Amino acid sequence: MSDQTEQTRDEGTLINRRTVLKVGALAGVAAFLAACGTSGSSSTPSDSAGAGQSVSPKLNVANWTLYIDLSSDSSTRPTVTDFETKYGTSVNYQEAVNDNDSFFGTIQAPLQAGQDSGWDIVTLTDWMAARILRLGWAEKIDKANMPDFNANLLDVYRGRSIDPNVEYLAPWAGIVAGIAIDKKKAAFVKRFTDLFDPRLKGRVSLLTEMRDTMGLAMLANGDDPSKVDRVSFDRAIALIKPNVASGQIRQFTGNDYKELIIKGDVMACAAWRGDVVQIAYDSPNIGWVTPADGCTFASDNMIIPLGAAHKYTAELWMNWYYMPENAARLTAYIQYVSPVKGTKEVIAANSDPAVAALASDPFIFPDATVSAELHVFGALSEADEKYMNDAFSALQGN
Amino acid sequence: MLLAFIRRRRGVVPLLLLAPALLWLAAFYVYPAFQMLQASLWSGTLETGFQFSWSNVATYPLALGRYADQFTRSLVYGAAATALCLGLAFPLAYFIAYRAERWRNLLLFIVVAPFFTSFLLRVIAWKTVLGDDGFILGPLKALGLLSSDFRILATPAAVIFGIAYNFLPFMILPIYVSLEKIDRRFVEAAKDLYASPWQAFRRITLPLAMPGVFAGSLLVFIPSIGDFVNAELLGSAQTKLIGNVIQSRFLVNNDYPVAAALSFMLMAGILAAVFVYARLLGTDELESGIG
Repeated sequence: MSDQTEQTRDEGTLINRRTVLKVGALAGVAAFLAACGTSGSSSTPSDSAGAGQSVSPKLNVANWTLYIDLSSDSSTRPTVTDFETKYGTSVNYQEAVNDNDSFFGTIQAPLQAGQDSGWDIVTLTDWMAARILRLGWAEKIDKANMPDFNANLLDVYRGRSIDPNVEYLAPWAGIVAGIAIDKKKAAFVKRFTDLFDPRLKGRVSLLTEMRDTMGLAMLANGDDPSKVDRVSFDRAIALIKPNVASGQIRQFTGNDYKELIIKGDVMACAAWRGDVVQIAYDSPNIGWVTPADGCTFASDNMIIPLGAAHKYTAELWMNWYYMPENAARLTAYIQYVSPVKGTKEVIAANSDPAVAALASDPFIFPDATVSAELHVFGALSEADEKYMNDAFSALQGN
Repeated sequence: MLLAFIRRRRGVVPLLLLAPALLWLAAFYVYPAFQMLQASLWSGTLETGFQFSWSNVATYPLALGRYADQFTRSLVYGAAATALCLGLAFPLAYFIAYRAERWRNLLLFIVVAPFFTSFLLRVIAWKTVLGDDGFILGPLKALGLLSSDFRILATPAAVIFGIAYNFLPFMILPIYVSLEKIDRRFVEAAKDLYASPWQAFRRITLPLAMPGVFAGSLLVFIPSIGDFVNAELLGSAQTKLIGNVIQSRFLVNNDYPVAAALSFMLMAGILAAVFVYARLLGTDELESGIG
């Protein structure tokens, strides 16, 4: 990211990611406290699809940390506040999703029992969204209430294998996984297999997110992660396994690779692109590498859980973020891949050159070159998912 | 009226005293343990649903076989951490009990001081302290005393040290208490009978301190075996303990039967280990150590 993007903007206009870093500590603490505060207030059972077409006084939204725009003093979330004002509702926005598995654990029991999970919107990664759909735990969205969504969902999100007819999922943002390096010590890393170079022995970490680590390994093997099967998966395990046994791979990590690479314990690692941009603001010796064999790509999706109390309002929420001006405010701030048509144009037209420059960032608006390097991990049957999760757990010593 | 009832039937008093703890145990230990026993005999998956059958008892040997390495490692690391704690704690407790005098309260406070911060923070602090180029290893490497690829983090040693550090006060405090209450006149008597200081220590002080050693060892060993935080944060794929497997089976793989079976076997394993330990030291020590 250029230095230009480090400038901040006043309230009411687009604010970019750098602002988060400036107010990062406080916002982080506040977000953490907020996340600790609730695990979803319980609501009365659903008024069911189609029954109540009026805006509810409340909307319960679960999303990931640092995934929403904040005002320059971090006290409000402008797009959320404007949604509340426009529709006369109150949004209980919680950064309740720390990772897919643990969040799933919190909603699984009520949904299995056919009860309201307490959330009207949950935001989960493709594969977990696929599981929710397989289990039949999502409400079908009523697209008649969502004109902007219908008009502005990017074509690449139509006909996805997990939701071919776009009946359940509204993508929130896309995430790219590739490699982060310490430029002084691992500048030679250009592809995934370079992580196994003896010079990096014990100084490499991989992600605990199975689809990212295994997807990158499959690409290195020349296999297509979107067509994953047990054979190609096992080949990827075979690529990594000896390097775990030899101690080449130091650890498997979640987000905590950040601290490892900043301290220097890790010199190169599998990483998420948005994170690397942020790390590089304060640690300029850390850099992003697009692996020569390609990156993995996944999206987080808004889902209305079965039996949600405020389905109509939830659909308005989904639609809200498909209005290009709202999507632009969100994207300029969180700097993840936007699934909304027209966002790029709104950002490009911004009077601040630092914000306008984001329109040409291929990792926010992937161009043909970057798109060709992004690979989505294929949908898995339950049996295959279990098989692969077991093998991946064993790889990590679990 | 209640008082009158209690006065008439004095046998009720112990029961009344025990009632809160018993209710607590029933609600938060016996009932969940029963549920877990049931879950360990399920088969199926989250999406197809789970069915109970006694024939699923086969899960136990299968899980034990599959995770034998992690079970063994947990026992070895737990024992090593306990031994390390004992080695560090005994001299320190001895010093605090007999030599510290007016510094005693301060030293006891220092022993407990780390507990004023969160367990997790203490483990994460170790990641900084022991960093490959951190302020301990960094200078040693710069001086050429260690090779540049030497590391402590992500090794078994880091996990064992981490466990030992976190549970050390549980060893120091019981040993201190048992040393402190020894009647020093026994030691004086031994010396009057021409025992050397070492003989007096070995024949008088050490045996009388055994209840503390026993209690401390249990307080360190039992949580060590089930620990997964140290292994997760300080270790590598080669140092995962059975606690990591249980956590991953429950939360990542949604494999409730195996997770429950492993939890049960861990409980049984700890009970067996404690039983063997109690037999080795004699049950008197168990009673006086815990009672």
